Amino acid sequence: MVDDDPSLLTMIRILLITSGFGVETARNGADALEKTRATGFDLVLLDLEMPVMDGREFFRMFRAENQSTPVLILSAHGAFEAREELRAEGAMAKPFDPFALVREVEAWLNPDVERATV
Amino acid sequence: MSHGQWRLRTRLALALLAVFIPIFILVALGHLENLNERRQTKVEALASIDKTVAASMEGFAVDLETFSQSAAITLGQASDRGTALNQDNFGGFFTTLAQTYNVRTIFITDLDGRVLAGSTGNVGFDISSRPYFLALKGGADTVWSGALAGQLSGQTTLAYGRDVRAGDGTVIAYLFVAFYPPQIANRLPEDLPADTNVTLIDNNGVMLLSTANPDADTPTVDVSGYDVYRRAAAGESVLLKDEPTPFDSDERYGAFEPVLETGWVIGLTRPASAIEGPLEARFLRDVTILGIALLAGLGAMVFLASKLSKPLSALASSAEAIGRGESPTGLGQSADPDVRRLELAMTRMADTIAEREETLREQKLAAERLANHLARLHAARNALSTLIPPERICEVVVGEAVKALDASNGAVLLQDETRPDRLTQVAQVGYGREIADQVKGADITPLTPSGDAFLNAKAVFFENAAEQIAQYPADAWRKRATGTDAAAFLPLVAEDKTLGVLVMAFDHPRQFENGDKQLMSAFAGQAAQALHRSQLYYAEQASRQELEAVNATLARSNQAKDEFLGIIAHELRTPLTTIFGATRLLNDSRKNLQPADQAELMKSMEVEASRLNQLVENLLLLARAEMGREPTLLPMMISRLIDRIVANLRSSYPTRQVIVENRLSGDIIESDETSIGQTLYNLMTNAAKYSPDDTPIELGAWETADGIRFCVSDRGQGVSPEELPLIFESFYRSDGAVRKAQGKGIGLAVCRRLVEGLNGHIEARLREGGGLEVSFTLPVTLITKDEPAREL
Repeated sequence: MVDDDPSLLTMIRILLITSGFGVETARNGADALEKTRATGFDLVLLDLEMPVMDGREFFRMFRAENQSTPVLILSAHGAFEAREELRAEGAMAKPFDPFALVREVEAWLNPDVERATV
Repeated sequence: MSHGQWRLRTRLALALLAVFIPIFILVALGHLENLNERRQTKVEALASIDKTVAASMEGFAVDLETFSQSAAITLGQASDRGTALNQDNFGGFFTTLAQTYNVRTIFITDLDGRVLAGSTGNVGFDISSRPYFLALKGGADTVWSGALAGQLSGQTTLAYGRDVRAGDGTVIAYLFVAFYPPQIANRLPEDLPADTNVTLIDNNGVMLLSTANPDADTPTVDVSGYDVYRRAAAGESVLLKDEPTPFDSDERYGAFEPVLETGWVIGLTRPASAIEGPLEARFLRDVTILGIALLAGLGAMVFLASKLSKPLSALASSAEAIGRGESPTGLGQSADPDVRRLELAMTRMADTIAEREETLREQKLAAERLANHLARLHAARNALSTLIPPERICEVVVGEAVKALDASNGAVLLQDETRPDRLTQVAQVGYGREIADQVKGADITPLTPSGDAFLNAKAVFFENAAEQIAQYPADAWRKRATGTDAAAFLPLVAEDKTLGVLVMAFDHPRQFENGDKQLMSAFAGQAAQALHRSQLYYAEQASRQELEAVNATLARSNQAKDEFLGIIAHELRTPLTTIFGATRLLNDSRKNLQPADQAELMKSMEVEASRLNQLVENLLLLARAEMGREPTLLPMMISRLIDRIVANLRSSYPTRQVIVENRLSGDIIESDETSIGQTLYNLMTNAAKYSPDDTPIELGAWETADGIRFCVSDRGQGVSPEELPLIFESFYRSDGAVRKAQGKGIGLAVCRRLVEGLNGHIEARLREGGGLEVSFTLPVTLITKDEPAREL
């Protein structure tokens, strides 16, 4: 989970861990890139507006290195447009229902569960 | 006799000739046709006679040949019987024959050409040298001689010769018959006209006989080259029409026929005059009658002309005079009552025409004047139909009005926009520069004619200068300065509002007719309408431009507002996401959550709620600044403010290092604590957000020449140099920098508003070694001194 808002990172971390997923957080694109290089992930949740390296720049660099891990964009502004633009695998507009996010994550990580369209 | 009479006669004569010449031509043509017909008839008649004559000649020749043959046979038989061929035995025989056949002589010769016996004797006469003898001697059976000069008589003679043969066929002698051509002429028909020339030409082309030329009947006239003869000799019947012949001096007609037996040609010709004479006489008679009729006609015409032409020419010159528009003269002397009546009628007609002409001339002048006026009005209206500035309208109207009325001067005075109590000259014609400057403007007062006309919206007219001066003595100097005489002052009224005055002046006294006044009023009306339109247009244009500017501003601020709202929405959603998510988690899954997680969620909610509060605070401050509300200035302690801000930041960023450097010599200022606090908080949270967690945030405060300066700096990435001047623009968006700027939210924009609201100044720069430094200066002075800077 990549976002510059510490509160949001906290909330999502607790939400996903409680739902049974392992979560690693990053405060910006550069941070995230470092972590994805170090460890393999099943899914990346990505904010767009971030200092140092923003979501778009991260996405391009990450996609250049890794084509298999899906990326879900979470943004308060233009999430769907950015998904189209970057050809990301999914998008969700902030604010969102935390359980809808859980269902979305489950759908990506467990193909048997039908994915909700958000 | 006058010229007119001559002309009249000439015309009459020409008319007569025009009648007579065709008649004459018809008569002449008829005559020619008669002539041709008659000629043909006569020629044919003569040809017919000629054929008869030729046949008669033929008969004569055949008779001659026949009896010559009979005689030769008789002589041959006699010789065979032993009778000697001599004068004694045959002299009587030949004489009887000659008488019977009416020939000159009949004789025989021996084979040597000596006469043996003959009707005229001459026994022993030698003809051996004669061509016809030589022809027989040469072997010919018979011979026709041509014309001969008789050897004895000396007269032209013709001869026929043949041989006389014995029973055994031996030629024993030659028999000759000689005769004179006139003896042939005797055989001609008796009814031949007396003037007929009977011409006989022998087989050698020698003329034997020409009855019209008795003296020429010698066989010396040779016509063998004559074409008519040659054709006739060849066996053709040749007709002769109006041609001379070699033996006639005049022109003739007739026919030439061949006499086949002898090779002669017999011609019968008559003089052409024999045919044409009677016809010409008739023609001459006709022509004479025609000529007499013509002359008689001419005489009658001349007589009539002399009776008519004088009064006619008088009438003509009268009519010409009327045509020239003069009064006719020279009428009234004629004695003829009809002519006299005509003359009187013409005189009356001339008078009427003269009257009409005078009326027409006047009407024409009036019409021309009217047309000129209309054209001027039209020109003015056309010129004014497009929207033009008031000055130009005045120029056009005064120019056209002066031309239309033939005025010497004209001017348009308009109420001054800046000084409504004055009339200002906008356009003028005819005033010298100096005078124009003198009378350029005037106060609006009833003491001047223009002021009077303006105030009462009523036209004022003066027929001369004295009248005007008497009525407006206070304005006399102006009238004298212009040196004009008659004058008119016409108010320019449109939509019940008087805009100015049209002044027309003349260099001579003038009585204004109704038409003149109406015309001037029309010009004034046009000017007023155009000015009114122009004023409306320019006023409307000005307000429209104003409106457009307002519109543009509104459109810009509307767009800015939209963008601003977009940013605000984003700023609001981010904390809401956390609060919403945490709330749901706590409500729905509290039992699954660890107590530590619950506490963490609660803390996040608090932080984000505080953030929302700050945001709302920013918005309120911004709104207040936008509304232009003055900040509340109260005494405040800077150190306390800094402490509070740092504490607030710590609640969101608990682990962040903050370095405070307060170098102020005092602590209390009089300012708006809320604005300064919000500005510092915004700058601090921005710095925290946009720089790495492990770098410090620095906050400084010190005194400068302009007041007190606060400075917040970080070691973050900063912004690009191009972006630097734009970061305080609340609604700033650009393709390259939009997202980063958006991320900074409205914080920096609020900062600028707040600082500027305190008459301060805010700026940003990139730090050496990386990071952004934002500082603002407030024009305030410290009230008390306090302790120096300290580090927290």
